[in-house]
Parts: sequence; structure tokens; C-alpha cells
Amino acid sequence: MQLERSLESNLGNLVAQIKRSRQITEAKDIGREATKLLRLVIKKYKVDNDEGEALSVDEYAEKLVEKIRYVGERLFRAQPTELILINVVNRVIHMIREESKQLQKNKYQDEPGVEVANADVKEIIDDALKEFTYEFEIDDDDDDVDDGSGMAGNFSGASDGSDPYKYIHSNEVIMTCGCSKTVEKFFRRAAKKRPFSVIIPEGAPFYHGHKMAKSLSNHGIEVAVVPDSAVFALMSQVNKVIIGTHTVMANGALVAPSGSQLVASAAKFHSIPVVVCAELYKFSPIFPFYEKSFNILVSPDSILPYKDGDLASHIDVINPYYDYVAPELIDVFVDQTGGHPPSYLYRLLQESYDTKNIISAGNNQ
Amino acid sequence: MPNNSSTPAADNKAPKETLATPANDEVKETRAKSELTEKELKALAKAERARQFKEKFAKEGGPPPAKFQKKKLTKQERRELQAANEQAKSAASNNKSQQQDNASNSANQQQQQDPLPKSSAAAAAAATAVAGQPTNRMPGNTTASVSATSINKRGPAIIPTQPDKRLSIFKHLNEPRFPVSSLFENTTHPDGSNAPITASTDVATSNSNALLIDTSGKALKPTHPSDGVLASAQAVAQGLQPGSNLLSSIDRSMQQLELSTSTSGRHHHLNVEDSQTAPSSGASTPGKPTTTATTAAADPALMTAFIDPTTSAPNEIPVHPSVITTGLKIAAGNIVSSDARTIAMLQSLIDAITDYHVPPQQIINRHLIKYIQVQTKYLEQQRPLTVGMNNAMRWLSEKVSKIEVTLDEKEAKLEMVQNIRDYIKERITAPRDLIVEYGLKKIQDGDVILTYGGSSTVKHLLIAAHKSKANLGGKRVRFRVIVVDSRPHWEGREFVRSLIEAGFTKQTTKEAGLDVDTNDDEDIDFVEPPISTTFNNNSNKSEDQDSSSSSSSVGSSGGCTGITYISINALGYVMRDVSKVLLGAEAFFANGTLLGKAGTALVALSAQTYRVPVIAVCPTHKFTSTIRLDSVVDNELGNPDQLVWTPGYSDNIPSEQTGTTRQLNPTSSLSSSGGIVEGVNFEGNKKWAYHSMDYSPFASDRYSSQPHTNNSSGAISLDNNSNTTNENISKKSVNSKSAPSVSLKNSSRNNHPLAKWREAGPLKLLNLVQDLTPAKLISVIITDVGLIPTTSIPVVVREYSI
Repeated sequence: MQLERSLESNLGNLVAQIKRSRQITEAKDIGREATKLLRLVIKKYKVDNDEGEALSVDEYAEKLVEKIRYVGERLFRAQPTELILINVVNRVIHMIREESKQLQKNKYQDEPGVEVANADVKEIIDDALKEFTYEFEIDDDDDDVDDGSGMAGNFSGASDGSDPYKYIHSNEVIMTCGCSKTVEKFFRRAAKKRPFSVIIPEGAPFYHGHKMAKSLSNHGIEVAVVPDSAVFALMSQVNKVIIGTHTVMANGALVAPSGSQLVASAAKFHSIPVVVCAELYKFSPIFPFYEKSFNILVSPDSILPYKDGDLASHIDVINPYYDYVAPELIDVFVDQTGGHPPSYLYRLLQESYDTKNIISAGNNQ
Repeated sequence: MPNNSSTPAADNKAPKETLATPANDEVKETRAKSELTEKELKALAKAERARQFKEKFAKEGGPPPAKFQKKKLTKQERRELQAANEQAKSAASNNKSQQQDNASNSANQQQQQDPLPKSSAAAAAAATAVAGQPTNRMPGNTTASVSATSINKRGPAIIPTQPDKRLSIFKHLNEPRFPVSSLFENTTHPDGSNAPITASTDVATSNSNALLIDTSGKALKPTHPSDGVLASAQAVAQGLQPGSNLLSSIDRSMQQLELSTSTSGRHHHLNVEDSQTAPSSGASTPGKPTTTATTAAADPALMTAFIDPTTSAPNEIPVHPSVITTGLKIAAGNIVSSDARTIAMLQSLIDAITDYHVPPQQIINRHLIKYIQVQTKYLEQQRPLTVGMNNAMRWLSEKVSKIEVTLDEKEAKLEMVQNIRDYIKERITAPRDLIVEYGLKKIQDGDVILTYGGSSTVKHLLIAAHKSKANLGGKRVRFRVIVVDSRPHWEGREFVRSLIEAGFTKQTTKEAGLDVDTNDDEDIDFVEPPISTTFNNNSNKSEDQDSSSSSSSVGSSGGCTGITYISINALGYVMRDVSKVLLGAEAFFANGTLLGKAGTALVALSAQTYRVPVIAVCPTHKFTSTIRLDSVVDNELGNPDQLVWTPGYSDNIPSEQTGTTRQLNPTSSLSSSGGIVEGVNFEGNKKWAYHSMDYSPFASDRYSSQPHTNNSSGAISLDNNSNTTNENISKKSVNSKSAPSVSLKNSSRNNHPLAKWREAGPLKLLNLVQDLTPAKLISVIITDVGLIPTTSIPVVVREYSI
């Protein structure tokens, strides 16, 4: 399959960013960039004139899906373990099909005899995608307190269940880990009305915790930074654990910043509830059959510095970037629409994805 | 006579060689780490000579040299000095007689006998060395850094700023394990909100006050808080005189040491706060670096202050210099493991008891207890005593109280010394050998053993397992080791290093005879490890293709087939492959909880999640009949600044870097060092390059984004002119013998998220040192009385009357 030259360069650019230097690693950035690219694909999409006039709406949609699928496979090849790409591509395909189905329905029921132009189909799909991109935006201003949403600010469907006040009580001690913008937003909202304090493990050797502590304290939230090793020792003082994640797998397991498993299992040991804040696009339709398969090993220099380089020839140094957190360690997921138990995720996924036809890095044709 | 030809004689360590060798090894091991000992000993000898020199003048009644003229000695003082000298001489001759088999030493002994002071810097140098830093590392203000250097690595961050505040703050210092639970108690804030405060709030406020203190070199005013530094330097210098009655009052010196502790915290704090300050772990004084170490030492006034005898009160009990040395080493983190600390304490007490004399009209068993208590109190102030140390102390005071009054002093002392040696042998070193013996049976072929931190007992066990041929019909068992490490001390690196030094190597699966996956027919001559598939999975994949190779080398190879090193965050990644977890312990409480380095509980918990047996190793001398429920009530707090981190900064930059002199005028240092040659000082270059990295895990990010520097080529400025272009950038010259300079843009310190954390709103750092592992997470404890479950600890404590 051929792409237009401008699309090809856009795709190549994104692939390079994901693959070669991992310039973008955050779930939000990857999702936003991938969606941007797919919207461009749809916008640029044209069928040959003689053929295009003859196509029905769903035939047209299927041809579009083929194109998206081709782009998606190129993206998967860049980083096969990146679940966000899989989520976005499948979600977009699902949206195209849903919209075309809806159009068909309207066509026969409401206005029989009126033909829907394929150009309109593109427009409608693009509108849907535009709404989807709002999931990746988190506004930084603090003025929008009253909409009640603790999650992505612009998302209209904010519900009672994602209200931070429902999760954080006054003077509680919360433990978190990593540096999740979603969690930060969640805390900032809660701090509007209630004083509470946060314990943050530093998240060595990546030190996400340092950044998180800084930004929370800048917003006046009481923060204590502790070494990762003190997580267990302090867990008995904690009321709740609220963490972010990179992705959520179909069984409810997390692919989260390294160190999250320690926090979650220590919480489980102390019977402390673990709340995971994740937007809908992070929920992946993929099941983990091997828990290490979605991890990445990064440079060991942050745990074995150069001056100890003489050891390097004698030992293996493993420095995983993510952690696998089993679903049994998690009590509830909070997204824009509210809270869900891990066991419910499979049902949630059916609304976002065509779960029978998932394309991923492994199973494409 | 050259100054440095003196010997360890003045250290009064003479009786040491009769000790059990493992104990000696332990201490040597810890000392070798710091190479300070040698210098310290020399310095001690120097101090001794300086003292004798001074005393000679006193005896002859001649005019003392200019530097001593400030205080004239009264008759009584002279008498005291004389007495002290005799004591010292007798001690020295005692040493001599015991060391006569050591021919090389005895020659030096002779030299040591005649006092020939070479320079007035001697005593100051001694004080420096005791404080844990050799002279050449001492920049700036000597008196301040003498005490500052010692505590910095582990020193508490509580800083008294005004004399009237001292009491309340010292209360904390006197109970260094102050409860952490208070950190999270809710207090009402002025704004009406209920927010928890943590200890670091207090730290922050007191520190911000501390910032106001002028730290310029000579500003040691009498009422100034840094007065304590001078006084403590005095105490240290005086402490160098073994057995003398000239030492200042113990209460006073205690106070002074507290002050010096806190002052060191101040210095450390200043290093963090001052954007202009060159990176250092506290050795470089952030004052005006106008006075160098030598000039400060040569200052007559300071010199007098160091060894001024008038400050001493004869009736007080002194802290023995050997105890001071040990205490400072413990405080500086040179002696870390709990066994090593116990042994070091006991050996310094042997020295102290050897030099002990019963004062007139005192009974030995009454007074010796007081004497020992003073020594212990000093050690406790440096760092809280471990359970093992407390047990040893309790045992010792019981022994002392039972000294028969009929024994004369010499006999009693000999008996006590012998008792302590027996304790070290019977309770510490011999049990460790037993534990190794029991533990060997638990290491089977194919095991993947995970261990955490730097326990010395685990190290001995692993090394023994590596060398042992007993378990597999004359063949060595094959096992892999996973070393888990954690911030902020990264003790596992030293652990890994010592394993490698013991001969642990990375073997391919073929060499190890473990390629069972690929060709079973040729490999059937050993028991297939239970987790062989995962084992191979983690091993070198490229070796799997060599299926045709024979395993004839199995007999000669074996032992440890590889070491994997991870940070504690990666526990979940490796735990599935682990077959046994070995944990060292600092103590076991009667309810079965394990007191260990912070993070031990997480390792045990992770092991339980993956159904991996957790084996703790702990000699019974570290058992206690007390009970602890959680890690928060009673814990040791580390220095919070250890958490302020720039990669390669706080824990990766070696201590050499701390001794660098800060130059006010970088241009002069550049010209004096002959300018900067590109590529010279490659060693330093690397370190600083590492230091300048952003904390992104991906190397490319680090190199592409250099937000910390104005220079796009990187953080290392090899450009001579850069200092003129940007005056705000603090400059640092690394002075080395080859005299190259690397000028560093130190602004990265401020860009760190936690830089200036004390000013950054409601932000606290809490550095817990220990944690408690619940009994149910531990499968078995290997002790010297056998393998026991955690429930048996009270029984063992009772039966063995620990």
C-alpha cells in the first residue's frame, strides 16, 4: 500500500521518534501524536473518482480501515511493546466502523433515499476523533474546579465517580509513585477543599518521584519524599495508595513505572486500598501472557555508574523501565467516567474496541 | 627523622594480634576501605610527639616556643603533664614489649621514643586525621572542617543555631532514634488547616536560621555557635593523649561533640543551599577559602587552642582516642555492617581498658563501669548502637561488676580484655562460621539466590558456597546470585565488588554446564536444577546455540555462574526466577520481626508473593528479648540531603572530589595549572560528565537536552573564556597533581527538583535507615544454634540468656 508523500514523511517522523531514540515515552504524548497522524491519514484519504462514487458508506469505511491498519502496523513495528499505539489504532478503527454503522442506520431509517456523501463520512469520523484527542489534554489551570472532574479537564462526560473528593478524606496520608500528570491533577483538585499529605517514593533510578514532589509542593500540598526502600516501613501510616500508570492491560494488570509493584504489594500486605487513575485510552485490549513482554530494559548507567565500570564485565545489570502490577493488587480504576473494579475492565473494553478484531504487533495477517 | 616514619605504636592497639583472626579480618576489612587508618596512626604519633615536646619544655622550665607562650603552665599543670607522660610512656613500652616479635616495628618504636616535633601542624594534623580526613583533603577553615568531615555522611541534619535553643535540640540528638511517628501527627496550622508536619519542618526552620551564621574562616567568636567546633577540636586533640588525666570534662566534651555534629550539619546544609558552592560532601568548607589547612594549623593561637591543657579537669573520665577513632569511623560510614561495628566497638574498648587506671580511692568494678559507660555514650552519640552492640555492652557491664575486688588492677584488666576477646570469638566470629556451615547445606545446584544490601554474613556464606566442593559429590554447586541494591548508600556495589574479588565470575551457560535446554543427552551428569528453564531464559541467550559442546568442564567450573545486579525497583522483574532469598539482619526481636536495612521487608514481601523461601541469617548475639511492632515508632533517621540527587552527584562522585579547593578566582587557578588542555584529566572529565546528566533514563535524551548548561557542547566547559562570559556560573577547579582543571558549570545543582527543598513549600525529605520485616515473611533463620523458625526466638533468647 502506498501513502501520500507528506503522510509518509509524517509517519516516518513519528516512527523515528518512537523507535530510535525514544524521544517520546509518555503515554499521553504517544497517544496524542498517533491520533494526530491518523487524523491526517483520514483527512488525506481519497478514493479514485470512478470507483469512489460507486462505494457505499460501509465499503468506504472498510477501505479507510485498511489504510489505518497499514499505518498502524508500521507504527507497531517501531515499538512492538508500546501498548498505547495498539490502543489508539484499534480505537480509531472501532470509531470508524461505529460511525459508518450509525450512518447506515440513519440512512435507512430516518431519511430513506437520501444518499450520504463519502466526504460527509470523513467529516463525521473526524469530529469523533477530535473528541477523542481531548483525552490526551490535561489543562494546567486551576480554575475549573466546579466541573467535578478530577481527570482530563476537557472531557465532558465527567461523572461523580471520578470526583477526587470521593476518594480522599481530610488529613489523610496518601502514597503515590511515579510522576503522573493525571494523578497530579487529581491531587490538586482534592487539595482545593481538603488538606491531606502525600508520601512519594523517589522512584530510583528514574526519580520521577522528585518531579512529582516538586510540582505537588508548588501547589501547596504537603509532600514527603522517601527512598523507595522505605515504602514498606511507611505503609502502615498510609490511608490510601493512589497511583498512575502507563497502560492497563485487559485483565486489569498495570504496566506502570518501575517501583509501582513494590508500592502496590506493600499496600496489599497492609490491606490499604490501591486506586489507579487512568484515562480511557490507557485501557488496552491486550492480555498479558508473559508479564515481562511489555517491559523495556534501559541503560544501566543510572544504577551502576561509570566509576564502577570495572564491575560491568563481571555482572549483569538489569534496569527495567516498567513494572508489572498484577490485577489482584488493585482495588479500583478511576477514569473520566467513574470507578471500575479490575474484573469489570473486559466489559469496558468492549465499548471502546472491536474486541474480536484486535490488531497488534503480533497478530497482523 | 622524617615525620611520617612513625608507627602505629601510639595507637595502643598492641594486644590485637592475639585476637581471633576472623575478628581481625573483619576490622582490617573495614579499615582497608578507607585507607585512613595509616594516616590516622601517623597523625596520632605526631600528636604524641608534639605533646611530649611541649611537655619537655614544661619540664625543663625553659621558655616554651612562641606558639605555646600564650598560656603559661602552673606548677600543678606541669605535674599533671608529667604524670600523663609517664603513663603514656608506660603504655608505649607496654606496646613495645608486646610487639617485639615485629622486627620492623621495633626499630620505629625507638624512633618514636625520642620526641622530635617537626612542625606545629602535627597536632592539628592529628585532629584532622581522627576526624576522618587526611590533611590534604582539608580545604578552607581547618577547625571547622575537623569536626565537619566526620559526621557528614551520616550526620543528623538537626542544627542548633542559638545557644538557648541547644537543650531542646540536643534532646533529640541524645536520643537519635527519636520516634518517626511524631512526624505524621496532625497539628493545626496557623491557617486553620490540619496538615501533618514532619520532623524536617523543624530541620528546615533551624537550618534557615543556620544560614545566617557567618562562616568566614577565622570568625570563631566565643559566644558564636561555631565556638563548639573549636572546643570539640580541642577535645579531639586532647583525646589523642592516651590515658592522660588532662582531658577535659566529659560532659563538656559531649556537649562540644554534639555541637560539632550539628555544626557539620550546618556545613552540609550550606553546601546544598549555596548555589555558588562547589559540589562536595562536606569536606570543603563553604566559607571564604582564604585559609588553607596548613596555614590554619600553623596559626599559633589555634595551635594553643588545640592542645591547651588548662581546659582539662583531672577528675573527669576521658573518652579514649581509640574509641573516638572508632566512633568517627562509624559516623562517617566507614564501618557499616552491624557485626563489624560491634567488633570495632569491642576492640576499641579493649584499648580503652588496657590504658585504664583506677583512680585513687575508687573500686575497680564500680569505676570501670562508669569509664566504659562514658566510652559507650560517646559511640552512641556518633550513631545509635545496634542491638548487637547493646547486648555486648550489657554483657560487658555484667562482667565488670563481677570483677573480684581481691584482684589487683593489672590482673583485673587482663581478665577483662581476655573476656572481651572471648566474646568476639565465641559470639561473633565463630557463630558466623557455624552459620556458613549450616547455610551451605541450603544452597543447592541451580539455585538462583537473591540477596539484599551488604550483609557480611551473607557474603561469607556465598563465598563459601562458591568455593565449597562438598555438596555435589566433589563438584561445586552452581548457583547464580542476584544482588539487590537501593539508595542512598548503594551498599550492594561494595558487596558485588567483594564477591568478584573472591573469584565470582560470569560463566556462560556452557561453562557452567547449565545448557540443559539444548541438549539433554550430554548434560545428564548433574541434577537438573528445578528452575532450569527460567535459568536459561535469563542467561546468555547467545550461548544456547552451542548445543553440541560437551559439558566436560563441569567438574572444574561451577560455583557462582553469574551475578546480576539490580536496583530494588526491579524486584518484580527478577523475583520469578529466584529460588531462594538470603537476608542479613541487624537484629531479631522476640516477636520474630527482623530489623534490617530499609528495603529488607520489601524484598521479603516480594519473595512471598512469588512463593520464594526467605532465609535470614543472624547470629544469636543479635537477638533481643524486646519487641517492636512497626518501623515507624523507633527508627534511625538518615541525612535527608542524601536524597537530594543529581545523577552521579551525591553518591557517585567519589570522596576525592570532596577535597577540592574552591577557588574564588578561577582565572588564577587556570593559569597556575597551565591552562586547560583538551582531554586531560580524563578521569575527572568522565565523572563530571556523568554528574551533569539529566535524570532521564534514556541516554539520548540526556545528550539532546542539556537544560542545565548554557554551553551547548555539554556541561563540561573546556573553554578558558567561559568564566568571563558568565560570571554567575560557579567555577570549580579540580586540583590534581597533573594540574589539569575541569571547570564545571554547577548550575545543575539548582535545577534539580529537590534543590533548595527546605525553602520549597511543604516539602519534606524523610530518609529512613531501617525497617522491620514481619515474622510471617521469613521462612527460616539460620543461626549458630541451628535453623530455627521466627517463633523460636524468645526461646533462644531465654535459653542462652542473651
